[in-house]
Amino acid sequence: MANKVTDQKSVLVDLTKCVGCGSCTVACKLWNSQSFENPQTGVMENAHGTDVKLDSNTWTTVEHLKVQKDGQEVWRFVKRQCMHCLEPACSSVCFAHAFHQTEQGAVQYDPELCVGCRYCMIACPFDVPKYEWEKVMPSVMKCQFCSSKLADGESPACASVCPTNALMFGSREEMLALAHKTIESDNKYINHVYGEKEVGGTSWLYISDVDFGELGFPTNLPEKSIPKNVHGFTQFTLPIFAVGALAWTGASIYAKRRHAVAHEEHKNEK
Amino acid sequence: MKNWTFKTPKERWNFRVTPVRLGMLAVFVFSLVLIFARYYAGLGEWTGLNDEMPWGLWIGADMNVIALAGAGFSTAIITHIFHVEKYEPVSRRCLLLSFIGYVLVLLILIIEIGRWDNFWRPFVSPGIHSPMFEVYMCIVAYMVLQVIELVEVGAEKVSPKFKKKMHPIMQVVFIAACTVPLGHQASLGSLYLAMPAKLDPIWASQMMPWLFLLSAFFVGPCVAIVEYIWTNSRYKMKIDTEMLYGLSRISAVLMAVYFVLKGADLVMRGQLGNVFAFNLEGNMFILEMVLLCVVPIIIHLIPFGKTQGGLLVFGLSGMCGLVLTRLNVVFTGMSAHIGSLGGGYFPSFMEIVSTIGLFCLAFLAYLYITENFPFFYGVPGDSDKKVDVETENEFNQAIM
Repeated sequence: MANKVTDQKSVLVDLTKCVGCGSCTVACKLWNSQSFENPQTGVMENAHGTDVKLDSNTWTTVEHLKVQKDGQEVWRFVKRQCMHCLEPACSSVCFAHAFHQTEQGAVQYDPELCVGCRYCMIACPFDVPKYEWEKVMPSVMKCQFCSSKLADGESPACASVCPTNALMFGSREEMLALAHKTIESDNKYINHVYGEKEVGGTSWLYISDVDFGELGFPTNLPEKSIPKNVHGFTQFTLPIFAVGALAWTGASIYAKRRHAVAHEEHKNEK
Repeated sequence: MKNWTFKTPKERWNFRVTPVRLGMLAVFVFSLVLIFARYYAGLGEWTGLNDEMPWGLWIGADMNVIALAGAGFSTAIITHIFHVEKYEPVSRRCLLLSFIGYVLVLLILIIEIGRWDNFWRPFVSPGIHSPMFEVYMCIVAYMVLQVIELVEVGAEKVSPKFKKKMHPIMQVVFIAACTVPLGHQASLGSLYLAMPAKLDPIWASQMMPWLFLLSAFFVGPCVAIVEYIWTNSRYKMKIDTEMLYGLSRISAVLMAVYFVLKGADLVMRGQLGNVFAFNLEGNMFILEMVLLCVVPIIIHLIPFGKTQGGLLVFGLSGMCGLVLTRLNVVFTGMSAHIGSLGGGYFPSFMEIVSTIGLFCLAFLAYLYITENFPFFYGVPGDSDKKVDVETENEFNQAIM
């Protein structure tokens, strides 16, 4: 079950090329057989537009944002989906091991194992996993990086339909190289490949000509991965038990002995 | 001196019914109806939980109950490890209080989790890197140990012979039961190490697990003091304020340690400015520290701290402070992030009533168990100890 990631794939999103058509969101719904209904309200909704959110039915959105650039108002279109972290928080915090990575680095969720504690939702640095709140037996829902397509050497559904080549698919090294080459070739780009270092790196990478903070990306993420941060404490688990048990045993024996001695002295005084 | 065996209560079993108890039962039954509705229609329909705020009142309640149930753990360390005999009257009740607390936690969790039918999965598919896994395993292990300890107490009344048979293993059980909670009390703090960029920096520190462990430990005596004063005055039993003052000293010293550690943590991470920023997070943090450390320590240092009223305020302040530390992490510290997602949360009627209902159940369980089993006295059968016959009689009259 625990595959080693041997063939890490990536998608490089060039936000300057995205025109906000939403083809990727439709391809996602079709490939994953999801309806366009909002799970809470039951109303049919597009997954691209000005006020769109990921939900259990919608694994990717394209958000239309009006932002400031060089003193002018401009539109930018931001595709959102699971970032497929190289060291995923969701997977490391899941106490039922319901998440695992495929050889291509797709972070997979197995509803069979899920207990529904929702720790993955709150731990995800990008707030990606969503819940089927309306269901009696709910599961967590998120982009699966079209893992079966990736395993067959194909690109994910969204990237395969992008009409403007805003979504480029390949190995992570290739995509990182391409990202840096693109940034160097044109000075309109911000010199930052989002996802290269954030929380230890992600499979999805973004380049942009507008500050990532303005586009709704979390910009306060540490470079240290979430699992490593948690491990900063959990590494002490077994030592704590060992030291605790030894200390209590020692203290108990010592205290008993001291009581016995005190008792003895008390008797002698009489 | 004749060996004293436990005689109270005089009737073998006692199930007193009072209007208050009936009321609590009614609230519990009503909450059961709502809980069934949640199982029938799902979490979305009946709770205020949502994608932006997937953890709410129930998780907040659980974090608090586990920490307050640390009373069993810290008083056990004092009496069963360090063998400070004068505190034995409180450690046994705290064991029960703590066990009932953990049962309450599991009951709340089984409503809270989405796939309650999968509760056993972590045992066969363990996510060993998750702090939640450690919390779960430790709580289950601890409850098994607590059951053994409680069987020993029950056997005292039902079958003293069996209690004697258990004697050889008890010291090992006590040591194990004092070790296991180190795991889950600390892990509860490490749950939030996974949200370094979401939790407000006042709380988001690598020190969190250690601070959670320390605070759960020193709030134990606070719970013990409040419970002891409340129960003993209710049943007209003697209140040994000198003993309680000794207990409060253990707490007060560790509170001072906590205060210094948390202060050093804030200074080292350069977060002291945020504390005095006069915003929601800063103010709530100051309130938390005042209730958890400052007020109890001051009370302990003045003569008022030796009186029954002073001890009660000491205990209550510490408990309220602890509740705030946990709620501040679950709610206050996360609120800015939730807001930035355009989300919000307020517990639904069902969440509130089910929580109150289950607390009522826990309360009733505590009343009936203590009125039927030997929890309120020192260790019986021990020839070194005398029992206060007068108190014993008063106890019988009070519960009749």
